[in-house]
Amino acid sequence: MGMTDFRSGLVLSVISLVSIGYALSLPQGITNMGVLQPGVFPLFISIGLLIFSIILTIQGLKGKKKQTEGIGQFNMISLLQNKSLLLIAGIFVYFTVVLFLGFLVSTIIAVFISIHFVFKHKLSNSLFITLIISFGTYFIFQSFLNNKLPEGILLTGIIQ
Amino acid sequence: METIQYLVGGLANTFTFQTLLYLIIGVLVGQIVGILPGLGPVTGLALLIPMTFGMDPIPALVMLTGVYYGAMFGGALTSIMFNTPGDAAAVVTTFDGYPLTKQGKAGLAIGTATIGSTLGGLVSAVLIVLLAPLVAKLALAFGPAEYTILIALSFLLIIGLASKSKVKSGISALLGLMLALIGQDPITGTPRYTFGHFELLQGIDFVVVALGLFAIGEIISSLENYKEMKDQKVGKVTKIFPNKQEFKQILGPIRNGTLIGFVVGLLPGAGATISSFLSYSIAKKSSKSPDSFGKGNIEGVAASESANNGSVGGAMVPMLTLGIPGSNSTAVLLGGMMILGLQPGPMFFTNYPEIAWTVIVSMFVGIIILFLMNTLLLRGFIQILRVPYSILAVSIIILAFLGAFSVNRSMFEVFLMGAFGCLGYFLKKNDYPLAPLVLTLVLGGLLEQNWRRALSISDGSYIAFFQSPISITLLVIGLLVIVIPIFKKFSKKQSGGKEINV
Amino acid sequence: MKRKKRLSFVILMVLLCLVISGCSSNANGESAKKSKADFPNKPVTIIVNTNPGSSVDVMARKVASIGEKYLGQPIVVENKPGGDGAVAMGYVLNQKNDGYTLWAGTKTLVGALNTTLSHYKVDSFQPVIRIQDDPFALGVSKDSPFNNLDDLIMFAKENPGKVKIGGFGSTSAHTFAAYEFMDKASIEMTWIPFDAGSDGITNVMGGHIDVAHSNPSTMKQFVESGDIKILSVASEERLTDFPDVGTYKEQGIDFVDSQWRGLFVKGGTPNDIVNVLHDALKKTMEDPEFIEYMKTSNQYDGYMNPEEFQNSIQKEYEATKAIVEKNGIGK
Repeated sequence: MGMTDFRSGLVLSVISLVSIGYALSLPQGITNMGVLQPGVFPLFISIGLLIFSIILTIQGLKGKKKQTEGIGQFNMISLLQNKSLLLIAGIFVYFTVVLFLGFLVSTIIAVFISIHFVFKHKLSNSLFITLIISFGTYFIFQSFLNNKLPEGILLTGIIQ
Repeated sequence: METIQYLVGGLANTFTFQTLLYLIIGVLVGQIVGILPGLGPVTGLALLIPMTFGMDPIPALVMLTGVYYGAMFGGALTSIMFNTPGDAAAVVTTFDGYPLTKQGKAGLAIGTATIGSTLGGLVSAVLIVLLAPLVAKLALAFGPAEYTILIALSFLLIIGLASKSKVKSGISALLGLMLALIGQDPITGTPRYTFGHFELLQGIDFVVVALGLFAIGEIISSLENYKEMKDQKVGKVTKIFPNKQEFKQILGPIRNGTLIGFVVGLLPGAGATISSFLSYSIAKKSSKSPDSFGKGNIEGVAASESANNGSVGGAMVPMLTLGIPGSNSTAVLLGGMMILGLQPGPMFFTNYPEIAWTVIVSMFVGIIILFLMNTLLLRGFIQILRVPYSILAVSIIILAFLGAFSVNRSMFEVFLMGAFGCLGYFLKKNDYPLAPLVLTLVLGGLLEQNWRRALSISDGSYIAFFQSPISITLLVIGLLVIVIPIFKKFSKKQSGGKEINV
Repeated sequence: MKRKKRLSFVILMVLLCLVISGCSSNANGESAKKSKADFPNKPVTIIVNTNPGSSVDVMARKVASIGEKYLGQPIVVENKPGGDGAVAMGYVLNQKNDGYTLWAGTKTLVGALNTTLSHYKVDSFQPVIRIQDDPFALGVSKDSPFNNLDDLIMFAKENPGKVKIGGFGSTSAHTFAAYEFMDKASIEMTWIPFDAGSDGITNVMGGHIDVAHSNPSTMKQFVESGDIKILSVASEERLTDFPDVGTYKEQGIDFVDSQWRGLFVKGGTPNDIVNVLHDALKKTMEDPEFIEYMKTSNQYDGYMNPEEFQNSIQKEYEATKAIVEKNGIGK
């Protein structure tokens, strides 16, 4: 626990310092009509965050000795083996592909790849699941909820 | 006497074929949009309002109201089963609902939520009948200063809820407040923390953050242990309703939750959210086993669900009697009434007694329909959990995508949600509670606006916060919340008793 | 056996999907490259930048249902909320300027052009018709010492900044109108922005602020129930619903301003098309059913033809610009 807390405390302190700087660039103080300027509340919160981050950093330092759990070992090898990191990357790739291919096509591809190749379901099952999920959600949102889904830059060009 | 006459008339109106049919459509659509993540009553209402065009006002209004409380009802389901809250009010239900699912007790959790929602909804409908004229003015007594204190108090309570680390809980709350700052300053219109991004001017929508933190964050951290998840199935869902002893256990939280829901719901603003958080923290404080809260205690589920459904009745009061919408949903509902040619407001009950009372009666009937529907369909719903987690995870990611996209129909929100997914994963892994972040994000803007409004009104003097009896009462409660734990801690140390978890 | 069933189901699903998507793409793909003479020859869409149920949405839907018989084509209303109207406006501007996509706009446009949407120009949109005119009005609680505009102005002159005036938004049409009024009366009051116009009224009723900046249509019920007094309305003449309430003009302040609602097409749409739309919509406004709706929703006829409408927007735009620059709103 200790090491991660120590590090997050430091990162948060930096963030709050940056935020304090930004808040100070906004109008501060109170006008003679009693209107608080936009910068006051952000400053208040940023200082609060700074105080809490410093406490966290100190707690992290103290806790370092009695390391109870070993989460947060950041090094390159564990990063690459990290499944969650791959998943995050996958999610973002999917979102990006939607921009180009539109919702329906990219969802079909993404669902099929993840179900069949990543989670290793049988081919027929994967096909079935892919169709149900992609077309099901597509129709609920596009037709029933009348919510126009992204068509994608590439495909709109072809249709028109 | 007159009231009874109107009630009977309302009952007769509700039980006509047409009205009943539209009531069922309304609650069904409400339930569905409530279940789908990211969609709430606003979507459901937006869907059905065009349909009401040219309809009779009574069935139309009965249907629209049905969407509103139906959505509150449905919100619990995904919160419990997939840790994916559909709206801010349902966030609290995830605290204990999802751990119950992980223990294979999804049935019990949903059963409890159904009972809590039903009782909360029914009792608050009764309270409308009894109290509407009396309490309508309470909403007026809440000015900017009173709001500021109420919201600050709920922040204090939620930070205090954290059992592991108050510091992390505080950091989580402050991060939420920071996120709430993004966008145009509500008082002067100055852009803040937008760094020139046009999309950020309106601020970050709660739905985007909640879907990211809860749904995506949860999936990332579960798939890390995918091997374990694969074996996990619901097993036989035999138990849905709590047994006698459990029922007794949840009755207290439901009673408190409903009352809190109704009273806080009266106040325009984020009634349902504040009330479910308040109800949860009070249930935890008054429970016999506060330590099990957050690890799967049905009391927590009952407290939150009864409060957010109780708030529906509360929110209807100022809307019908003053024409003041207390939330986005009631604002849309109000618009729906305007389309029908009805103007809610101080003259509504006088001008249209038949319509007003039919709507209230239909709320009873609708809630009972929802209860029956849920009881019948529950077993079917829970079967979804038998689907392998991998497929569920993929579906949830796509639903989250659609939920975030629906906010503004733009991909910007979708990417933002992905980023919050990463943040959620990190916070979860390092034991930061997510609830404070969500609450402060939803209410941070309100806190700031009301604080600044209060100061503007008092020409910058902080006396504003000590002027009314309501403010002083709330301040005293806040003081007690801070002082009592310190005192307890002190006296425990004095007596040499071992403190377990503060 | 089970597998077979499943497969056939899948095939059925796919076929169904193909059929449905095929149909819908046919309907959408039909592009309009027809001569102006036979406009309109397909359904016309009105884009609304709020959720269903807002005043402007209600108006658009009434126009759509009544206007169909005058236009000779179905009129569809589509809601595209988000970004203070930016989503809807952006959508309309991305369509062809063939008159098939209308935008139901309000006075908010003028403010937005000066603040959040300053990348658009006044002539990005071609006005078609102005339909409603909802004049601004000042309301106070029944217990307020102010009984007319003079009382308020006298008090505000002696106590600059002491009067708290509240209403919708920090950069809304209400905000700009309130500042314009202060300017013209040379007084100083404190603007308290709320998230909804009705919040201003409840805060007046609850005694938290002194004056609500709102519209007569919103305050009517509260006037009837005796909770609110209206000090003045920003119309040219007194309103028939409130014969006792004086206008700003007769109380010595040259201030006429309103929350209008009207219909626009994309800038650059040919004049004949604009005229076809205008004529059909004008007939719609004269329809008894529409007049009845205007009455029940407490709205006032704000008819203007495209040219008048264009000029009035240009004037308002410049006035608002001056106010924004003078008071530093949204900066």
